[in-house]
Amino acid sequence: MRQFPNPNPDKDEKLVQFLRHYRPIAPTPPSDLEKRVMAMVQQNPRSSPVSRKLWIIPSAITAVLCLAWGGSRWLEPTPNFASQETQSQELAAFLVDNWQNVADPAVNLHADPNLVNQWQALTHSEMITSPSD
Amino acid sequence: MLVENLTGKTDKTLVIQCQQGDSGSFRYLYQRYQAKVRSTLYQLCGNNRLDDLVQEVFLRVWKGIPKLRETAYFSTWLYRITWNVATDERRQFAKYGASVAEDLTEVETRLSRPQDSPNLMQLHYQDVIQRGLQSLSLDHRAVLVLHDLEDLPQKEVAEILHLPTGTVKSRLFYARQAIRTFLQQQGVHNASISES
Repeated sequence: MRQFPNPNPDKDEKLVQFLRHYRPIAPTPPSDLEKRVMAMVQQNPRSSPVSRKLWIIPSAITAVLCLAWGGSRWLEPTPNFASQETQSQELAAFLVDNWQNVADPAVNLHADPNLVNQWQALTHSEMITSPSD
Repeated sequence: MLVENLTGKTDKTLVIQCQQGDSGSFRYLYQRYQAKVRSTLYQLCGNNRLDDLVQEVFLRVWKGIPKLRETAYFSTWLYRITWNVATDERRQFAKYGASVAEDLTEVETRLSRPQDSPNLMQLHYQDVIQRGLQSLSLDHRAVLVLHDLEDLPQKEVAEILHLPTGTVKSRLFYARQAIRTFLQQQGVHNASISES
């Protein structure tokens, strides 16, 4: 920061003393000026701090309600889309697998001899009890 | 800056009571500060509309006091409002061209030979200083009035004018230089200054 030189502080001091000694003096105020000022003050009443504080109550209630609503939304469990996707893939695989079993039961029957026997027993009994017979 | 007189109450106490709507405390603040406000406005704006400007300052104080947080710094805040009113007045003056300078020669016209009597000499010097102040820019005048005439410290002047202290120092330097030159041009020499 630039420093402003003061080569002669005594000179400045004398100037300041001169200015203070001969400073222009403001004219005396009219005697009723104080009354006028106070009348203006009375015409401009301010709301009391108590009534101003009353505005805080509805604002606070609104803020609390907003916080409560926001909090409940925040705490609500979010849907797990990844898990849902896995479940739907499993379901699709199950349906396809199940459909294949229905369409071609031999595929799995060959894999399990018990099932083959059961299948044959079932088809045989159907043939016996068939009304067409 | 805490001031305690008249009522025995500090500015801070009176301000807090004003904030609670007590106009009686406001009257005490008015009585305590009206002379300083009046004097400052007179140095800054001259005699035109002086009473109106004083009223304007105290009306703004009354309206703004509920928002004042630093109650201990009431006087700084008051000077700040005074400065704002003075600058608004200067803007109006620039807009409508009212003649502030007209009343400055009022004293001079009553003087024929200022050296005739000490009282007349006093009036003469007052007139010269008033014209010298008016010859300064408002920014320089404000610093000179607040620091050299109202005797406020540079730091407080900086707070009132919302300026860095370095800027206050530089403006003070140039303002003193300018008014010294003006006084010399008006025939007021160093000898007269030293005599004061």
